[in-house]
Amino acid sequence: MWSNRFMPIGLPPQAEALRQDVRDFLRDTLGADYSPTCRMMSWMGFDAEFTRALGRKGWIGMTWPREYGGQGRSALDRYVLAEELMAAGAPVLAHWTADRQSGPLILRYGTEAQKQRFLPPITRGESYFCIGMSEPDSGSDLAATRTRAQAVQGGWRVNGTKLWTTNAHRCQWMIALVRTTPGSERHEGLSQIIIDLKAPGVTVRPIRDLAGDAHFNEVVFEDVFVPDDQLVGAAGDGWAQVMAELAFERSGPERYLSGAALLTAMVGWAGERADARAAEAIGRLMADVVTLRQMSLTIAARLERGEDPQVEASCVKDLGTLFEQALPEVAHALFDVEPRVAGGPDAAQVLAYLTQVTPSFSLRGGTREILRGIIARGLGAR
Amino acid sequence: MDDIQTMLQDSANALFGDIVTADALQRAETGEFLQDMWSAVAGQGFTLAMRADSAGGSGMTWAQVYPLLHAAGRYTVPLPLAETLLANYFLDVAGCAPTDGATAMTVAGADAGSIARQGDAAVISATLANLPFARQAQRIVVSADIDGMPHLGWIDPAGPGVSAAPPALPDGRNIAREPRDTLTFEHAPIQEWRPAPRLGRAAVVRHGAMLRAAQMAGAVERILEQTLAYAGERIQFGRPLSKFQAIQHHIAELGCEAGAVATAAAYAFGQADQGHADLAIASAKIRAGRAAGKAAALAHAVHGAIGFTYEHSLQYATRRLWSWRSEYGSHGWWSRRLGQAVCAQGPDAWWPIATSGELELKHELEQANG
Repeated sequence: MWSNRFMPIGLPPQAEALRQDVRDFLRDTLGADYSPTCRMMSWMGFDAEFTRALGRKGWIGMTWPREYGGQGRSALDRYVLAEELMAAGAPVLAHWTADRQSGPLILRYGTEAQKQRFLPPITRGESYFCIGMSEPDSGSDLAATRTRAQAVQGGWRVNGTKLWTTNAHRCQWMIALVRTTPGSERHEGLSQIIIDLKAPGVTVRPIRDLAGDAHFNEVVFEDVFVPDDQLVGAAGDGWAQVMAELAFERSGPERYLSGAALLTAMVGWAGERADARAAEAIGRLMADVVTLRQMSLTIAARLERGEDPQVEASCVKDLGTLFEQALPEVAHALFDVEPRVAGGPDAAQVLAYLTQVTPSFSLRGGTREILRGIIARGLGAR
Repeated sequence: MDDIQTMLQDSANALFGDIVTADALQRAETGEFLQDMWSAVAGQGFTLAMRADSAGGSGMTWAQVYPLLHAAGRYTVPLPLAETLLANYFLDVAGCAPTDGATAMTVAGADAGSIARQGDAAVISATLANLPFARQAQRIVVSADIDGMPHLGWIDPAGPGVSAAPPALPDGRNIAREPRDTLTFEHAPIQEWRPAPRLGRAAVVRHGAMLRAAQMAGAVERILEQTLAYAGERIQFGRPLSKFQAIQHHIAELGCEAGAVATAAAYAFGQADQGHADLAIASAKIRAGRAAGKAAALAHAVHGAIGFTYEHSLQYATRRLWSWRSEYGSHGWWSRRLGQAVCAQGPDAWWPIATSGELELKHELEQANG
């Protein structure tokens, strides 16, 4: 039965104990100066010093084995850490992709040498990864990937272009989906390789988004040499590996908490004696928070058990981004606040920022339309 | 799910799938009390699931009985099962004498002012509205807060001082044509009236909402299953409906709603066992209430005209969703109370509340007319 896949789990006591440690750390590290206009950036906020501080606490790759720099803790511990970071709007972008999916990918499919080489620097907060999936002619249609890696002496020669690559301009490494079998079609002949973005032939061009920020990039590869030992998993298995990776990408707390700063602003506007209209809207949003959190937690527990809840993860992302995208709409309906990109109260800047960036929420990590296709097929419609 | 949950889910779904036929549902809608079905349900011990082992029940937790209520919603069981299960739980918690599991009951909250002491006994004079299945109940369990102390007892609806009211509207029914009665009590005696510290008006609304949320999760599951089956069979433009992307997206949205309602409802039952469930119950009833309209609309859209007929079975679940969403507090009613309680704690409180699950709505619920 479909709903049996969504049975909530309770958090174990040690995960709840960690929560207080994380809250104390965030209060001490970010401090009172960490304003709503910082928090509104959510996981698009980049701060290498903060990332290294998390690394010193053992809070990057904390579920990985100790021999690779991890702490061997449970996925539910990591979940608590992640949701506290999101709720605080902590600047986690530097290590977020590596912690969430690149590291787990290497741990699952990588060689022993790759694990020893790549994982410890990630856990120290010194090594950042980005994900090379989309291309100019391959957005939602990921199987149309054209970037090719040609087998050469000792490795691969890569040519092609990746697009919309978040954080590439600050990362050392990209895990790219490339075509390693010449002439292969669609899902066949694809592989994942780790590319050094400082290697000769790599050009990274930041792309300004409509809010004026430059988080994503165009990355061009011209005869870039990648050594053999940077192929992850088996050549030709790239598609299956990418699909498994996406369950990690789609179900986390960042899929419903990117607008946390705006919800805080809205409760502030409503006041402690909220009128009926404001109370009704806040109550409805709160019910969504509670529900999405339980859905997201359930998937974390299932991933920990080694299950593959891709379809359920897609549900969390679809519902979660609907929630995030509703926030500025509800705010505009309820409160007479003019958004400001400069000047004005912090809360007006939070509203301006979220109003602008919410369209990206149902694009990044798989568009709503793609997710709904995955969910429908997962339910048996075909 | 643990073994008890799985066993209960299997046995409830098997029994309901067998006995809740279209014919039975239609007979129930004409006003018939389905005695055979009730005997079969009570015979499984379902109505006593929450009563302590020592009092002849199954001693289950709320988390354990969740699959039973989900199954009751999934098969649209047209009987006071949820109500009787709750009544037995309340009587057990209050220390009243146990009943036979086949005694049909319903539960009501009352104003303190409507209840008067007469020596050791108490009598009630009030009009109580929206009582589920009251005309079929052999007992009406009533709870009220007397000087801040919750009390509980029960009324024999066939006893003195009880009448259907107002006389012009003797046959109240919800959209699913389930009895929703208004009764007038004139000095009607309350049996076994006693203090019951954990119960009271708030507990009636709280538990009623929680049970409806589980039934609604089951009903959404049902219409998802029906919609998937229909979209796979129905051919238009030379291919099954399920091949069309527009239909697939309807199905995906319906699946998301089903997952969300089930999560929220099951979470509420788990929290009820921990004793601090107001946030979870409010969230479950709000989420279920919002899903009800959306899920029913999606299912009807995919089914087309045939799903709009009485002959087609889709409507048994959709009409219940349209009914249950407003019982024990609509999503707007709960949203206002939840929102007020969250806002009262200031802008930074919503996240600690969400993670701790701690939010007391007792005062808000005691003002309820649910």
